[in-house]
Amino acid sequence: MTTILERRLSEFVNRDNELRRFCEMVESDNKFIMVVWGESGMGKSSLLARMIHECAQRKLRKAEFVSKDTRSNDYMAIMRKIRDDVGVDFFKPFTDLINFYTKEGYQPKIELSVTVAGSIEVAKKAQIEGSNVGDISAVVIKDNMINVPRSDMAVPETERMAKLTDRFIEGLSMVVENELLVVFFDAGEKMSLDTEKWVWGELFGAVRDGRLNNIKFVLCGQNPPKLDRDWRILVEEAELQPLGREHIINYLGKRGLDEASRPDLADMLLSHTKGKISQIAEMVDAFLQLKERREHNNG
Amino acid sequence: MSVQGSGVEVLLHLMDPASAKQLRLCAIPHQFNPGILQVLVPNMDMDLAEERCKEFSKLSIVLSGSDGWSIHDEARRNLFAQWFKPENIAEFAAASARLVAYFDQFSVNVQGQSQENVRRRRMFHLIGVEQSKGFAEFEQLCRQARHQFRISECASLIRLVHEYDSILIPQHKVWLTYHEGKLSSDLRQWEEAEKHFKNILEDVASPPVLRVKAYVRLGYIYCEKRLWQIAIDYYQQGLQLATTKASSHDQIHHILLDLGIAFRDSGDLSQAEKMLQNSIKLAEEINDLAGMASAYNTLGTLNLKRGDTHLAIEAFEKSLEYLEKSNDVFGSAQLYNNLGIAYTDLREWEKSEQFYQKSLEITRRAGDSLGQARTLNNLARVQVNQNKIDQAIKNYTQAIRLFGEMREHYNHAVAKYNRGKIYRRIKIFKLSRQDFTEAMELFKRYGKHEEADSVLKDINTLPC
Repeated sequence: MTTILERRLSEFVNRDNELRRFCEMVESDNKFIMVVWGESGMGKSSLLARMIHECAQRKLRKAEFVSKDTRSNDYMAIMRKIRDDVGVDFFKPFTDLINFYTKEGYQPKIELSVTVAGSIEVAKKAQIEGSNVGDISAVVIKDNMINVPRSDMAVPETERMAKLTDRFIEGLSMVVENELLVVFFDAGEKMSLDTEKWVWGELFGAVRDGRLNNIKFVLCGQNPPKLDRDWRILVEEAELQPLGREHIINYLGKRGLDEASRPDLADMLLSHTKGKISQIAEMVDAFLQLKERREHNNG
Repeated sequence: MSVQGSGVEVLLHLMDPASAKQLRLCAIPHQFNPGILQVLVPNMDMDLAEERCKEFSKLSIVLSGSDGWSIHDEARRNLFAQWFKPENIAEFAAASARLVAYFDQFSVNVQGQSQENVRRRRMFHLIGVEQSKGFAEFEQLCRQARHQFRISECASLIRLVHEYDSILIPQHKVWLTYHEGKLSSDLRQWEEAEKHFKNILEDVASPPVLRVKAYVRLGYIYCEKRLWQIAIDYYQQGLQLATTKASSHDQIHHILLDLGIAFRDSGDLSQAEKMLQNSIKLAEEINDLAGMASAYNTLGTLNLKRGDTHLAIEAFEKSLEYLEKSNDVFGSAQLYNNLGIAYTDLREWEKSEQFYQKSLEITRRAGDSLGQARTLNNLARVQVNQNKIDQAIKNYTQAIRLFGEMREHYNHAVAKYNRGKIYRRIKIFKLSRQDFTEAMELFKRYGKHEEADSVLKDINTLPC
């Protein structure tokens, strides 16, 4: 049975330009963020799926975070998800600290202070005080997956954010030491403002400031980015446009509609939907339902 | 249900009617799976539920994720809105009630983050069953999240409630606006916050208790902007309204405290004292221990500003007494720090040091690094005066590290500057120059040019 992902990939049309720019960004030494935006239904998530598939084909490591209305979308949720996608072993100090901040009575298992000199290559330049790195691999630390700060302490939120981020970046720098990582964010419009600030200021900021290398980000959302000149140099921006007639014809072909009817159907769809991909897909679904019903009735 | 013009409606019209109905039901929750479909369609067996989910998954509007399937946002919005029509609302409420019961059961078996997600979803559907109960649940969750400084969580909760915009009763709409205003304030988006609170004042549906809160919030905004007179005007409007409405009487001593702070910061110390004394009196009448502790603490800082150090100490001690009675374990750190400052003013170094050490002990237990850094900075200054140079250097060094970790750039620079002065005093000029230079660079980088110029003057006093 075809999975939803397989179906999406097989029906993917247009966006070759955006995909090409994504591949260039992945290989670029100058750009490390791609921001893709467009109104709801323009195919951002489908494009993201295509990019993720591209990473899989190139055997690139990846992580994905999709903001959802019914789940926590804060900085801690983002870090946890990236950690879980990439491999928890690199992030034991980070997990240990999350538990320390959220579980009453928890005592840290890792007393580790890592300072990273200059830009990165942790293994070469890190000074590790107070613990032997080899010991950490033997320590089993399971995230309690609690969000609420423990009530027997009063660690300010700014401190929690700063320290967790530092530990997370340390872990992430070990992940990317030898291998490129691509991190995808979808539904960015559902991120709260403080989370957005954290993503740009702390996560992307770590790359801009040279504390993290060998990592690329793709951010999909409904809103265009507000970038100053310094950021613009590092960011690839792509606004998704509605589909044109030829692309709609191409899409209809991929949905299995017969060649003869495609041009007229494409004209009708373009007129009704103005090229908005989700509405085109809905109308084609409806058309195929009608066709199936007729075939069933004619039996 | 009637068919409208959008693509999804056309699709539903052409689907098998039973399937179409079930897809519409799937638009009520944000995600669905066979288990949830069985809740939405009672008496549907699991085999059919699984088959139906597979059928839906073939549609372009259905997406898959780690927590099941979901309908694309725009399509879901259209379908969800249809449920608010008079002919559909009863069925919607019944389906929502089943979802509430489902999430109630589910929450028993999960913990931590998962339990929080379930509570959120339950709240969302409870609004659809009984709006007032659901809204009360939203307010409780939002209050908890704010108390924990989880702003992102508040933002998510507010987004969820907004899905009911077209059927929210006016009373809930204005309270939602209030929560949005508080969220904007927490994010320091003052214009946005001001807009929300002013909307409350202009809305006839706003009850007096909410108007009072809106005035007070506007007062906070202008205090943050350091526009004291405007802040004071708003507070006074809030106070005037609160005194005429019985429902707002419990807010009066809080407003008086806010007025006291605003007058203090604007320099009108006698008015400030008057407000604070009134606040204390009212807080005493209703035995609000935390309220009394806050008011006495503010009175203490007022007296420090005035130079009445002994009166300040009396006020801080009173505040501490009430704080301890209210079982606030960590709040006393600030008070001990303030007492340390007061005794520093009196040049009673030993007493000052004792209070700073007490404050430090509490901030360490609390895990508050920034609090520790500030106290260490103060403690080091006292130790310099006691000629305890080694200890002072040690404490400044620790403060510098903590300020740096907390990205408190200004205080980081100040602590370096202070340490540089000590090194200069004990004639370790190399380290003094290093600290002064780093402090100056930090001040410059963050736009504090006056401070940078002061440091430069100190650098120039060092021998080459």
